[in-house]
Amino acid sequence: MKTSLKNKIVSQIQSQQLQPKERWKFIVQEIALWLGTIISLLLASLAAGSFIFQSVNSAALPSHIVLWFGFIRIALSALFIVLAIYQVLRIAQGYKRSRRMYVIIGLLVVVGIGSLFFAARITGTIESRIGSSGLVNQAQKYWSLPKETGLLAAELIEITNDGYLLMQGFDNRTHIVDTRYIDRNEQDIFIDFLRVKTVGYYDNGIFYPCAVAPWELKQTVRESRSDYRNIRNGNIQFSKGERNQKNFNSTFERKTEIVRTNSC
Amino acid sequence: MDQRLHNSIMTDVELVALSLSNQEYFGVLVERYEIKLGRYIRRITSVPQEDQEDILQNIFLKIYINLNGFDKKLSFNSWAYRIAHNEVVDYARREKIKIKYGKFDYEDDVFTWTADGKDFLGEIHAREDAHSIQSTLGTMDIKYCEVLILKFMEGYSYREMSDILKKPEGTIATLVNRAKKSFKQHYENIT
Repeated sequence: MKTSLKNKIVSQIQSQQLQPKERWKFIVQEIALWLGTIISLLLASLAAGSFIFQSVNSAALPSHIVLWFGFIRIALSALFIVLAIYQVLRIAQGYKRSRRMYVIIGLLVVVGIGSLFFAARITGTIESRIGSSGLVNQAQKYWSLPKETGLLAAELIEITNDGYLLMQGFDNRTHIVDTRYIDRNEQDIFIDFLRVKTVGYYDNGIFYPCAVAPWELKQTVRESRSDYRNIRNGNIQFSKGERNQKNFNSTFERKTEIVRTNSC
Repeated sequence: MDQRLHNSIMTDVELVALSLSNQEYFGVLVERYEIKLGRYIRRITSVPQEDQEDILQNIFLKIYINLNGFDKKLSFNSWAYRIAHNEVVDYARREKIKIKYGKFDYEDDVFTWTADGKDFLGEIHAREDAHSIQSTLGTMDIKYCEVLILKFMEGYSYREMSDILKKPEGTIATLVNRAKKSFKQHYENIT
């Protein structure tokens, strides 16, 4: 006589000593999915915040960095959003909402939290701490090749008796700067802000700036130095001086020509 | 009270709870669902009889092993059908075969339409002719066959189908609409 299915199943359970999987394993799985979703969204938000940081500070970065870092950060953000959606669909009731709804919610959450990360300087702090992969390091490197590119960002450390400025770059090299080719207002920027960016050229071991503006990377890590009262956005400002951005931008466009001709 | 009568008036949720400590109660669940699930397997796949039995056995073993994972927000029925559906898909993947719409024995009660199903056939002027219906379903995309079977043969609501197939209700409604259009189109081509 053919064994009934019920008897087959029950005897198989008994002979193989099968046991239902413990409840706690299902709970752990569910918690892991929730955690995975949250972590993925946080990582996506960090990448989005980094993209916002880069966009806001794009003037301080070379264009190829803006392009590639931007692409990588958007791709990373998208990847983590996809990962979050993949996990949330596997949560117990996760299938009840459509994928499109999750994409919209995911994008809103990521942009919102990413903006918060940027505003709270979390992204800026991370970008300054991750070494050469970080945007802060990339920006500082970009502005530390005055002989090759005509771009110098540095901090005023001393004014010599001859009227030269001694400036220390982000690579800790000291540069002698002669401001004879810029007008008085622009010269004041060195004093007002201490950390400045310049476009100019090197000649016989002296750097001649053609334009200067305050150095600024918005929403970077806060610094505290006992010798200065106010350090904001990498910028040490003593007074509300003229920032000279318009003139600086137009001179920046001519940087290659300036280096080539050794002339402003 | 006769034990069989007692078992028959217990709810699925009560049987699940009791099965965790006593396999005999799980046997009651097997008896309760073997015909339904067996018919469902025959409806959605054309694998041989002995393979269908193996699939059905695997389904019940998976149900047993995952009893503690039964989500009480679902009906046990939907949850069991979900496991059955997944097992058929996994089987096809393991055996590297495509899930093809099942071949019915015309005398079998596998091939029955619900009242809604008959209404649908009436709307598109299709006769409830086993041969042409079966031929039509055989030419359709399996994802449309699935929803038509669940809706018009198994008689499930969109919500239950959503729980079985793990898709949002809106998606299920869209699939059913597309399935009906596809069925109509293929039926007209065949007849």
